Amino acid sequence: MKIARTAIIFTSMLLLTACQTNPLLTGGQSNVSIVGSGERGHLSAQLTMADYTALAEKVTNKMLSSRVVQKWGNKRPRLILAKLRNNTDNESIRMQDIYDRITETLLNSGLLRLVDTSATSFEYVVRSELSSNRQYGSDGQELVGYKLELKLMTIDGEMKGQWSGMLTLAKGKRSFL
Amino acid sequence: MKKLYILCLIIFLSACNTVNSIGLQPTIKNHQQNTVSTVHPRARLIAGSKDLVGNLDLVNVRFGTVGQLPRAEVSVQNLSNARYSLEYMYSWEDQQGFKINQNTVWKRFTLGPREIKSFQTIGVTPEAYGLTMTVRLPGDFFIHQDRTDPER
Repeated sequence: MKIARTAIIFTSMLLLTACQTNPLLTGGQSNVSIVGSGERGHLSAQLTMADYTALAEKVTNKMLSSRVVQKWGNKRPRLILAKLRNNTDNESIRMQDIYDRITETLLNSGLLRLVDTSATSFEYVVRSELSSNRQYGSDGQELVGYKLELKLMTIDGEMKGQWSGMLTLAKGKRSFL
Repeated sequence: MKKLYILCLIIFLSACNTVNSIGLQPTIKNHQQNTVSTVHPRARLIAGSKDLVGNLDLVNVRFGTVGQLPRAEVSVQNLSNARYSLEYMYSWEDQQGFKINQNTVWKRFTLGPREIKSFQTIGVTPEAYGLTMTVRLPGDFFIHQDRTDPER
Protein backbone atom coordinates (compact mmCIF):
# COMPACT_ATOMS: atom_id res chain seq x y z
CA MET A 1 0.00 0.00 0.00
CA LYS A 2 2.78 2.34 0.96
CA ILE A 3 4.67 1.54 -2.26
CA ALA A 4 1.57 2.19 -4.34
CA ARG A 5 0.98 5.55 -2.65
CA THR A 6 4.62 6.53 -3.29
CA ALA A 7 4.29 5.48 -6.91
CA ILE A 8 1.16 7.61 -7.36
CA ILE A 9 2.83 10.65 -5.80
CA PHE A 10 5.91 10.16 -7.99
CA THR A 11 3.81 9.75 -11.15
CA SER A 12 1.74 12.81 -10.27
CA MET A 13 4.92 14.85 -9.83
CA LEU A 14 6.16 13.77 -13.24
CA LEU A 15 2.77 14.52 -14.75
CA LEU A 16 2.73 18.03 -13.34
CA THR A 17 6.26 18.91 -14.41
CA ALA A 18 6.69 17.11 -17.72
CA CYS A 19 4.56 19.40 -19.85
CA GLN A 20 6.41 22.57 -19.01
CA THR A 21 7.22 24.48 -22.18
CA ASN A 22 10.55 26.19 -22.57
CA PRO A 23 10.28 29.95 -22.48
CA LEU A 24 13.42 31.90 -23.36
CA LEU A 25 14.66 33.18 -20.01
CA THR A 26 17.96 34.81 -19.22
CA GLY A 27 17.74 33.27 -15.80
CA GLY A 28 19.34 30.51 -13.83
CA GLN A 29 22.15 30.75 -11.37
CA SER A 30 24.52 32.68 -13.63
CA ASN A 31 21.82 34.91 -15.14
CA VAL A 32 23.41 34.27 -18.52
CA SER A 33 21.82 32.47 -21.43
CA ILE A 34 22.70 31.61 -25.00
CA VAL A 35 20.39 33.21 -27.53
CA GLY A 36 20.05 32.48 -31.24
CA SER A 37 22.62 34.29 -33.38
CA GLY A 38 19.83 35.72 -35.52
CA GLU A 39 18.09 37.44 -32.59
CA ARG A 40 18.12 41.24 -32.66
CA GLY A 41 18.12 42.05 -28.94
CA HIS A 42 19.97 45.20 -27.82
CA LEU A 43 21.05 46.31 -24.39
CA SER A 44 22.22 49.70 -25.66
CA ALA A 45 21.93 51.73 -28.85
CA GLN A 46 25.05 50.12 -30.32
CA LEU A 47 25.41 47.75 -33.23
CA THR A 48 25.46 44.04 -32.46
CA MET A 49 26.91 41.19 -34.50
CA ALA A 50 23.42 40.48 -35.85
CA ASP A 51 23.18 44.12 -36.98
CA TYR A 52 26.48 43.80 -38.84
CA THR A 53 25.09 40.74 -40.60
CA ALA A 54 21.77 42.42 -41.41
CA LEU A 55 23.42 45.54 -42.81
CA ALA A 56 25.97 43.61 -44.85
CA GLU A 57 23.30 41.24 -46.18
CA LYS A 58 21.01 44.10 -47.16
CA VAL A 59 23.66 46.03 -49.07
CA THR A 60 25.36 43.10 -50.78
CA ASN A 61 21.99 41.69 -51.87
CA LYS A 62 21.18 45.06 -53.42
CA MET A 63 24.49 44.99 -55.22
CA LEU A 64 24.10 41.40 -56.43
CA SER A 65 20.61 42.05 -57.77
CA SER A 66 21.64 45.22 -59.61
CA ARG A 67 21.68 45.47 -63.38
CA VAL A 68 25.44 46.14 -63.39
CA VAL A 69 26.22 42.85 -61.68
CA GLN A 70 23.61 40.96 -63.70
CA LYS A 71 25.40 41.97 -66.87
CA TRP A 72 28.54 40.17 -65.70
CA GLY A 73 26.88 36.81 -66.41
CA ASN A 74 29.56 34.10 -66.28
CA LYS A 75 32.50 36.48 -66.71
CA ARG A 76 33.35 36.51 -62.98
CA PRO A 77 35.36 39.74 -63.00
CA ARG A 78 38.23 40.30 -60.58
CA LEU A 79 37.24 42.66 -57.83
CA ILE A 80 38.99 44.35 -54.92
CA LEU A 81 36.96 45.12 -51.82
CA ALA A 82 38.74 48.13 -50.32
CA LYS A 83 39.02 48.59 -46.59
CA LEU A 84 35.71 49.55 -44.99
CA ARG A 85 35.80 53.15 -43.79
CA ASN A 86 34.35 53.98 -40.39
CA ASN A 87 32.74 57.40 -40.67
CA THR A 88 30.61 57.01 -37.51
CA ASP A 89 30.99 58.64 -34.12
CA ASN A 90 31.92 55.28 -32.63
CA GLU A 91 35.45 54.02 -33.10
CA SER A 92 34.80 50.74 -31.34
CA ILE A 93 32.67 49.31 -34.17
CA ARG A 94 34.28 46.13 -35.43
CA MET A 95 34.67 47.06 -39.09
CA GLN A 96 36.49 43.84 -39.90
CA ASP A 97 33.38 41.84 -38.96
CA ILE A 98 31.23 43.86 -41.34
CA TYR A 99 33.90 43.52 -44.03
CA ASP A 100 33.98 39.74 -43.53
CA ARG A 101 30.21 39.48 -43.82
CA ILE A 102 30.31 41.35 -47.12
CA THR A 103 33.14 39.25 -48.56
CA GLU A 104 31.40 36.04 -47.45
CA THR A 105 28.19 36.96 -49.28
CA LEU A 106 30.01 38.14 -52.39
CA LEU A 107 32.17 35.02 -52.57
CA ASN A 108 29.27 32.62 -51.99
CA SER A 109 27.38 34.18 -54.88
CA GLY A 110 29.98 32.83 -57.33
CA LEU A 111 29.44 35.88 -59.53
CA LEU A 112 32.90 37.40 -59.06
CA ARG A 113 36.44 36.77 -57.94
CA LEU A 114 37.73 38.66 -54.96
CA VAL A 115 41.40 39.56 -55.07
CA ASP A 116 43.69 41.11 -52.50
CA THR A 117 44.45 44.83 -52.48
CA SER A 118 48.01 43.97 -53.54
CA ALA A 119 46.78 42.41 -56.81
CA THR A 120 47.90 44.12 -59.98
CA SER A 121 45.21 42.78 -62.28
CA PHE A 122 41.58 43.57 -61.49
CA GLU A 123 38.54 45.14 -63.13
CA TYR A 124 36.63 46.74 -60.28
CA VAL A 125 37.14 48.26 -56.86
CA VAL A 126 34.38 48.34 -54.27
CA ARG A 127 34.67 51.17 -51.76
CA SER A 128 32.56 50.94 -48.64
CA GLU A 129 31.73 53.27 -45.81
CA LEU A 130 29.73 53.10 -42.60
CA SER A 131 28.30 56.38 -41.32
CA SER A 132 25.95 57.35 -38.53
CA ASN A 133 23.93 60.14 -37.02
CA ARG A 134 22.55 60.41 -33.52
CA GLN A 135 19.72 62.29 -31.77
CA TYR A 136 19.13 62.58 -28.03
CA GLY A 137 15.81 63.06 -26.24
CA SER A 138 15.22 64.72 -22.88
CA ASP A 139 14.75 61.53 -20.83
CA GLY A 140 17.70 59.54 -22.09
CA GLN A 141 15.98 58.70 -25.35
CA GLU A 142 18.27 58.10 -28.23
CA LEU A 143 17.86 57.58 -31.94
CA VAL A 144 20.87 56.31 -33.87
CA GLY A 145 20.91 55.78 -37.61
CA TYR A 146 23.60 53.74 -39.36
CA LYS A 147 24.16 53.66 -43.09
CA LEU A 148 26.36 51.23 -44.95
CA GLU A 149 27.27 52.17 -48.49
CA LEU A 150 29.01 50.31 -51.31
CA LYS A 151 30.39 52.03 -54.40
CA LEU A 152 31.52 50.05 -57.43
CA MET A 153 34.28 51.75 -59.44
CA THR A 154 36.18 50.70 -62.52
CA ILE A 155 39.99 50.98 -62.58
CA ASP A 156 39.53 54.18 -64.59
CA GLY A 157 37.68 55.67 -61.64
CA GLU A 158 34.22 55.53 -63.22
CA MET A 159 31.47 54.82 -60.74
CA LYS A 160 29.31 51.96 -61.99
CA GLY A 161 26.97 51.54 -59.06
CA GLN A 162 26.14 52.65 -55.55
CA TRP A 163 24.05 50.80 -52.98
CA SER A 164 23.20 51.59 -49.39
CA GLY A 165 21.35 50.06 -46.48
CA MET A 166 20.15 51.73 -43.30
CA LEU A 167 19.49 50.60 -39.77
CA THR A 168 17.96 52.73 -37.03
CA LEU A 169 18.20 51.95 -33.32
CA ALA A 170 15.81 53.66 -30.92
CA LYS A 171 16.40 53.73 -27.17
CA GLY A 172 13.42 54.47 -24.92
CA LYS A 173 13.36 56.86 -22.00
CA ARG A 174 14.86 55.86 -18.67
CA SER A 175 12.48 54.20 -16.28
CA PHE A 176 12.78 54.73 -12.52
CA LEU A 177 11.15 52.36 -10.11
CA MET B 1 -5.13 1.02 -6.09
CA LYS B 2 -3.33 -0.73 -8.92
CA LYS B 3 -5.95 0.52 -11.38
CA LEU B 4 -5.47 4.07 -10.13
CA TYR B 5 -1.73 3.78 -10.61
CA ILE B 6 -2.15 2.46 -14.18
CA LEU B 7 -4.58 5.28 -14.93
CA CYS B 8 -2.07 7.86 -13.69
CA LEU B 9 0.65 6.27 -15.78
CA ILE B 10 -1.52 6.32 -18.93
CA ILE B 11 -2.30 10.00 -18.41
CA PHE B 12 1.38 10.72 -17.87
CA LEU B 13 2.45 8.90 -21.01
CA SER B 14 -0.16 10.51 -23.23
CA ALA B 15 -0.35 14.05 -21.80
CA CYS B 16 2.78 15.45 -23.39
CA ASN B 17 2.16 14.07 -26.86
CA THR B 18 1.88 17.36 -28.74
CA VAL B 19 3.57 16.17 -31.92
CA ASN B 20 1.51 13.83 -34.05
CA SER B 21 3.01 11.05 -36.12
CA ILE B 22 6.26 12.85 -36.79
CA GLY B 23 8.06 9.62 -37.55
CA LEU B 24 5.31 8.00 -39.60
CA GLN B 25 5.47 10.24 -42.64
CA PRO B 26 9.13 10.75 -43.50
CA THR B 27 8.40 12.74 -46.66
CA ILE B 28 6.34 15.41 -44.97
CA LYS B 29 8.04 18.81 -44.90
CA ASN B 30 6.05 20.29 -42.05
CA HIS B 31 2.96 19.64 -40.03
CA GLN B 32 -0.27 20.97 -41.44
CA GLN B 33 -1.15 23.92 -39.27
CA ASN B 34 -3.11 27.09 -39.85
CA THR B 35 0.07 29.06 -39.21
CA VAL B 36 1.93 27.47 -42.14
CA SER B 37 1.10 28.06 -45.79
CA THR B 38 2.53 25.80 -48.49
CA VAL B 39 0.34 27.03 -51.34
CA HIS B 40 3.37 27.71 -53.51
CA PRO B 41 5.41 24.58 -54.27
CA ARG B 42 8.69 26.38 -53.64
CA ALA B 43 7.70 28.46 -50.64
CA ARG B 44 6.75 27.86 -47.05
CA LEU B 45 5.24 30.85 -45.25
CA ILE B 46 5.01 30.71 -41.48
CA ALA B 47 3.11 33.02 -39.17
CA GLY B 48 5.27 32.50 -36.12
CA SER B 49 2.72 33.49 -33.50
CA LYS B 50 -0.84 32.36 -32.94
CA ASP B 51 -1.84 36.00 -32.33
CA LEU B 52 -1.07 36.74 -35.97
CA VAL B 53 -3.41 34.10 -37.39
CA GLY B 54 -6.40 35.83 -38.94
CA ASN B 55 -4.79 39.25 -38.55
CA LEU B 56 -1.95 38.79 -40.96
CA ASP B 57 -1.61 37.02 -44.27
CA LEU B 58 1.44 36.08 -46.28
CA VAL B 59 0.39 36.36 -49.89
CA ASN B 60 1.59 36.52 -53.45
CA VAL B 61 4.90 34.66 -53.51
CA ARG B 62 6.87 35.38 -56.66
CA PHE B 63 10.09 33.79 -57.87
CA GLY B 64 12.45 35.12 -60.48
CA THR B 65 16.14 35.25 -61.24
CA VAL B 66 18.82 37.88 -60.98
CA GLY B 67 21.53 36.75 -63.32
CA GLN B 68 22.35 33.28 -62.00
CA LEU B 69 20.78 33.83 -58.59
CA PRO B 70 17.18 33.09 -57.67
CA ARG B 71 15.09 35.94 -56.31
CA ALA B 72 11.82 35.79 -54.37
CA GLU B 73 9.35 38.32 -53.11
CA VAL B 74 6.62 37.77 -50.53
CA SER B 75 3.88 40.25 -49.63
CA VAL B 76 2.62 40.52 -46.08
CA GLN B 77 -0.87 41.92 -45.59
CA ASN B 78 -2.32 43.32 -42.37
CA LEU B 79 -5.97 42.25 -42.24
CA SER B 80 -6.68 44.13 -39.03
CA ASN B 81 -6.87 47.75 -37.87
CA ALA B 82 -3.98 47.25 -35.47
CA ARG B 83 -0.47 48.54 -36.00
CA TYR B 84 2.03 45.72 -35.81
CA SER B 85 5.73 45.81 -35.07
CA LEU B 86 7.04 42.55 -36.47
CA GLU B 87 10.15 40.79 -37.64
CA TYR B 88 10.79 38.36 -40.46
CA MET B 89 13.48 35.93 -41.54
CA TYR B 90 14.18 34.14 -44.79
CA SER B 91 15.97 30.88 -45.29
CA TRP B 92 16.76 29.17 -48.57
CA GLU B 93 17.08 25.48 -49.41
CA ASP B 94 18.50 23.75 -52.46
CA GLN B 95 16.45 21.42 -54.64
CA GLN B 96 17.22 18.43 -52.43
CA GLY B 97 15.94 20.29 -49.39
CA PHE B 98 19.35 21.04 -47.85
CA LYS B 99 19.62 24.38 -46.16
CA ILE B 100 21.76 26.94 -47.95
CA ASN B 101 24.50 28.23 -45.70
CA GLN B 102 23.46 31.85 -45.44
CA ASN B 103 23.89 34.39 -42.66
CA THR B 104 20.38 35.45 -41.85
CA VAL B 105 19.03 37.43 -38.95
CA TRP B 106 15.58 38.62 -37.94
CA LYS B 107 14.67 41.91 -39.58
CA ARG B 108 12.20 44.38 -38.12
CA PHE B 109 9.34 46.07 -39.89
CA THR B 110 6.14 47.88 -39.01
CA LEU B 111 2.83 47.14 -40.63
CA GLY B 112 0.09 49.74 -40.32
CA PRO B 113 -3.65 48.98 -40.46
CA ARG B 114 -4.58 47.18 -43.71
CA GLU B 115 -1.11 47.82 -45.08
CA ILE B 116 0.63 45.49 -47.53
CA LYS B 117 4.40 45.31 -47.62
CA SER B 118 6.61 43.27 -49.90
CA PHE B 119 9.98 41.82 -49.01
CA GLN B 120 12.53 40.67 -51.49
CA THR B 121 15.36 38.25 -50.97
CA ILE B 122 18.09 36.73 -53.08
CA GLY B 123 19.26 33.17 -52.75
CA VAL B 124 22.96 33.93 -52.45
CA THR B 125 24.03 30.86 -54.42
CA PRO B 126 22.69 29.64 -57.77
CA GLU B 127 21.68 26.35 -56.06
CA ALA B 128 19.06 28.08 -53.87
CA TYR B 129 15.60 26.81 -54.79
CA GLY B 130 13.04 26.71 -51.98
CA LEU B 131 12.19 29.47 -49.56
CA THR B 132 10.91 29.61 -46.01
CA MET B 133 9.72 32.94 -44.67
CA THR B 134 8.73 33.33 -41.04
CA VAL B 135 6.99 36.38 -39.61
CA ARG B 136 6.67 36.74 -35.85
CA LEU B 137 6.26 39.21 -33.04
CA PRO B 138 9.66 40.61 -31.99
CA GLY B 139 11.64 38.30 -29.76
CA ASP B 140 13.95 40.52 -27.75
CA PHE B 141 15.38 38.53 -24.90
CA PHE B 142 14.82 41.32 -22.40
CA ILE B 143 11.16 41.33 -23.36
CA HIS B 144 11.01 37.58 -22.87
CA GLN B 145 12.33 37.94 -19.34
CA ASP B 146 9.07 39.36 -18.02
CA ARG B 147 6.86 37.28 -20.22
CA THR B 148 4.62 34.86 -18.40
CA ASP B 149 2.80 33.42 -21.39
CA PRO B 150 5.28 31.42 -23.49
CA GLU B 151 2.68 30.82 -26.21
CA ARG B 152 2.27 34.50 -27.02
